[in-house]
Amino acid sequence: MSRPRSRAALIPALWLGIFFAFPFLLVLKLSLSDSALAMPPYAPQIDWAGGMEGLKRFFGALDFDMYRRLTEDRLYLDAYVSSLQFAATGTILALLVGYPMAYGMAKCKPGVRSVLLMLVILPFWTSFLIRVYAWVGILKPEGLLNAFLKLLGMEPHTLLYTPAAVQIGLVYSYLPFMVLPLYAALERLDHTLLEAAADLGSPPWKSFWQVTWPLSIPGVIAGCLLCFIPMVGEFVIPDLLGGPGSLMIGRSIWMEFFANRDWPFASAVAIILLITLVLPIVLYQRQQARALEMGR
Amino acid sequence: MSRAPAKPAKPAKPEGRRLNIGAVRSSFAPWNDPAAVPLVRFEGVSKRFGTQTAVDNVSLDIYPGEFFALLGPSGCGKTTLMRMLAGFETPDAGRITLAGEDLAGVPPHKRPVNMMFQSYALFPHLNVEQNIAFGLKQEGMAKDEIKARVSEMLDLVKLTPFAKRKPDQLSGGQKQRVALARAVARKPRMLLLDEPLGALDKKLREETQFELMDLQVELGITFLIVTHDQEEAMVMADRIAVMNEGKAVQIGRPEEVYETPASRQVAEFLGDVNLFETKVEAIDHPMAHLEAAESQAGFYVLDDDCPGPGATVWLAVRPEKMRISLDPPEPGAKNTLAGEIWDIGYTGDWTNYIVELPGEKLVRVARANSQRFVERPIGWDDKVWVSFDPDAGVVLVS
Repeated sequence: MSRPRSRAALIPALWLGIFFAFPFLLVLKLSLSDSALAMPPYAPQIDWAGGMEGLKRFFGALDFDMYRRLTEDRLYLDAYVSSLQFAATGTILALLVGYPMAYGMAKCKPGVRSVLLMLVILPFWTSFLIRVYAWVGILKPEGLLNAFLKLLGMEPHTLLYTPAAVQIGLVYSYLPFMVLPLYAALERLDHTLLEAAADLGSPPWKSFWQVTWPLSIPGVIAGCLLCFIPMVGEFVIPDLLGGPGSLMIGRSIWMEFFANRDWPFASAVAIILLITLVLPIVLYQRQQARALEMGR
Repeated sequence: MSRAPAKPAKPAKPEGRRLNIGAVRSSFAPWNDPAAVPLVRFEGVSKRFGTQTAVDNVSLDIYPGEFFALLGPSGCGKTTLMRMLAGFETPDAGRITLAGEDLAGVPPHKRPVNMMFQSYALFPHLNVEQNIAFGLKQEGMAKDEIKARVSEMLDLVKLTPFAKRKPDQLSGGQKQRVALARAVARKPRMLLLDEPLGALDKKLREETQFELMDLQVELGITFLIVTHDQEEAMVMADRIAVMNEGKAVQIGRPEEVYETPASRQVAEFLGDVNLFETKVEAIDHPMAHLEAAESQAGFYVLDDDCPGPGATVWLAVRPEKMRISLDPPEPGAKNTLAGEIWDIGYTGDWTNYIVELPGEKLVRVARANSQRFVERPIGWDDKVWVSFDPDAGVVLVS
């Protein structure tokens, strides 16, 4: 490997070290500690004054108690499973909504495209929290949705504090993360490929499945991972829109950390979540590498 | 042994005798047969994009088994004309028929023609084999039949060892052959080729020209090729339609469009030409007397299509049909111009002499370097005489 290249690789490595590896090690250390009624609320503390002997004592006190507790309480396993379910359903729904959106955008004239692209990004200009609160206003019993249903002469439905509300909130919030990579993939698609398909006897709907869809797969994978990964750990949406039934792991972590002040346990939950998510991240990276190779 | 070349003793050609046009004899000429039925007919076809007219009232017939070329500079409408036949554009006016059937309203995927795209448009997610099989799959052909046809096509374009490669693992020439195999795999009534050799280097292009011609004979498919390269069109095509600004300005055999261009435009587009603006002095059938005020010269040429005395016409003489000499002509010799060498371009097989005539008129004379040793080479600023035979020039009225 040439020298300049390895030097350039140092920058992301440094970045990863400061913003990922170091915090991760802190949380990992925390998850191996025990809860304590103290300030800070965990033990053991590193005894810097004790020198080597102190460090030895510190490492000796670390254990896997928190992880053991995690397996004993079904609540957390349920929360993991339901988080993964919410995220998977949300990702599929976002794909179903986002693909036609991205496809339509890519088919527009370049001038219209940039306007539509602007509109997709526009929600980011408002606080995420406020946008989720807005859904409370829409979904609550006397909210906009029911007013509209009443206008049509239909039965009112209360969606707020149900799993459906969480699902709506997830799809709404993460839709741009689905649309943008899909749009990038579809916009790059060479139009003459579709002409070639038509020329070779493929009607338009078949060309979509034979040409457009397979060539947009990198965008589909990128969009799905960009939605799925943060959705699993989502905490604000289930907190604001979900009822007691919509259990999500992000909310559990928050509860343990701030309501119960059980930092070590919250850390253990977070570490398990991270390990669960590493798998799709690795898949994503491998796909990115392959896409790069294809593009060459 | 003398190394000096013998001066070519040209046999005196009887004045005004009309011989066959060009150097190629071909018996394939369905366009001259009133009973022949064209495969494709363009009848008064026009196409506008916004305010721009891309194709302007083009009518032409293409006969079964023909290798037909649409030749013209970029933006002349040749590609649009082809795309209308493929079904990617709809004519604003006129009719396109294929084997007597009006193609209006027939979508591209239902037309019995296939196209080879300029960019090749190979499917990047499919390998060579799958690319070639694509069109066969759409027809619902049986699996083993597809397999047999694909291997036949791979064999035809000599790509069998590359069957499992993806397009981005192929060279330009290999991609071109995959595109070709994919387009002919369905055995279409007609193959459309959009600048098929544009992306290849010169050597490969020349080889591929002959390969394409052989392939056409082998498959018996009618070929329509779009190109801006006149050599490509001349080498391969039975007939050429020269296009300019949306119009088909001349249709004919390569020899016809080269040797008897219909206008100055065609003459200038196909190869090099020397044009003299002249006035008709007298018609003395079969010869015409022309007077060029600009170069203070008189010309004596065949009176084909020449208007009566007083009209302004252009005399077009190809550089290779002119002679250059260091010796003054015999007194009374016709079509002889005195001048001075302005520039010399030596290309190996040919030498191009640019000669300045009186009135600062430049003419180009090309001479084949048929001898390795020359007794009296021509140099810069030499006084020379340029001459041509009475049947070497074409009289053009437009």
